[in-house]
Amino acid sequence: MTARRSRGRVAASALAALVILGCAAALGDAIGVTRAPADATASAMVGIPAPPLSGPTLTDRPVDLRNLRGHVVLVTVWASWCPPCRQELPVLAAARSRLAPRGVVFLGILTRDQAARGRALLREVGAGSLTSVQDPDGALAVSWGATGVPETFVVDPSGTIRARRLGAVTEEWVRRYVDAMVA
Amino acid sequence: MAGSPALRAQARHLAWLLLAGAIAAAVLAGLWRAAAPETRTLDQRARDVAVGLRCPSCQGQSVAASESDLARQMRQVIREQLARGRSPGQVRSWFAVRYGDGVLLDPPLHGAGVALAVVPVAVLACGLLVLARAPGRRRLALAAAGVAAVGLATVVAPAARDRPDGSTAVAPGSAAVAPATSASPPASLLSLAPEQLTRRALQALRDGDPALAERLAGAALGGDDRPSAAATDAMLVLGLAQRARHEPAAGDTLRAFLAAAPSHPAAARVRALLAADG
Repeated sequence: MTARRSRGRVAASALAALVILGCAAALGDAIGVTRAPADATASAMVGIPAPPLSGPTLTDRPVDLRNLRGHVVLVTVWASWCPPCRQELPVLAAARSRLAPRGVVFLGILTRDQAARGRALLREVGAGSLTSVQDPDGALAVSWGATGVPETFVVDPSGTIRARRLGAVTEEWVRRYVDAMVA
Repeated sequence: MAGSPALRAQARHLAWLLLAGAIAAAVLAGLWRAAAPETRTLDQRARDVAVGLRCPSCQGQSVAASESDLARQMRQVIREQLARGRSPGQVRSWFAVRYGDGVLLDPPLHGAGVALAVVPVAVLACGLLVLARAPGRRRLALAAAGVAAVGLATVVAPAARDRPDGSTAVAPGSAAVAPATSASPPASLLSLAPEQLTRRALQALRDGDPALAERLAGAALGGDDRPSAAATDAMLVLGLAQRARHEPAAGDTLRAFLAAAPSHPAAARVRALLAADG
């Protein structure tokens, strides 16, 4: 009888421990312990082959990322209605002047925007030489995993994404992640 | 009052039969549900996938529930991929590769998530053990309590899972929205840099969610009113969000922005807005 009661106590204790563990896990889940943090997005895509990127440019010429194998390519998702993009474009234009002679290609994705507006902003900020693919419905941006604008990816000569930045790039960031690849 | 032992045995027998019937019905319902996907329309299947994906530019909303441009485009991509013959699992993986596991509202199990999956099974096993060892009369009561608990969990769990979709805490114009000054942004955003918070605030404003924009811009600004570029951008978005919500503070915030950054690219438009507001 005593042995049975003892076994019952052990079983009850084990059950209680499991329930407490379950509650702790549920609480952890609720406060985000088991969820990937928002910043995890920044590391997604890095180390995998770049998604397809082709289409008409802002001047209706065809461009295809596949034809740029062998080059380091900096891909930027941007829009004329995005204030940080306005700040970022001159940085990209300066970087392009410096790095294009070393084989780096700068390619934009003008997303959820009109080509005319994109061209106007490029002229206004002195970044008219930045080739950009039109993405009026945002499908290209989604296929690149962009959560907003601007967002930038560095693609190595084999076509693999090596770095990703959420938000406007800085000259320091370009030097750190792009210059290092063409040194 | 007590019936004969034969009658009691019959009643117990009937109760066991009812219990077995309930379990069989639950199993059959599960099997029917598992077989159902083939008969559902493309729209229904696309919606099921969208319900399981987190909108990356929103807070606490699934791709199915969000009205943001990004979520709309994601829904379109889901539809196209399913129409091309991809399975829902493949579509989810496609998004997880691009946005990280965080985009999945039901991410792969790891860490405490494993416990969440293992504990219910262990509790069930313990329950069955207790049931098997219980005396005859108690066994029926315990079994009935177990079935009731499972039934309750079946009702409560989906309701709890749906909470993010149905949340009105950030819905525009909702009376449930807490005052921006007292609400803090979601914990997952607290680690973001002010520039990223401002960017998300701008996105929320564009997506027609000024309440969330106000919270995020307020967090980006924090207590720091130094005239940095990040602070003035946050001030601008905060002022625009307040204006969209018809808050009296909007004018003061936008004037503070103009004072801090008179040559900002948006300054002319802000002056025009203030002039229009009188």
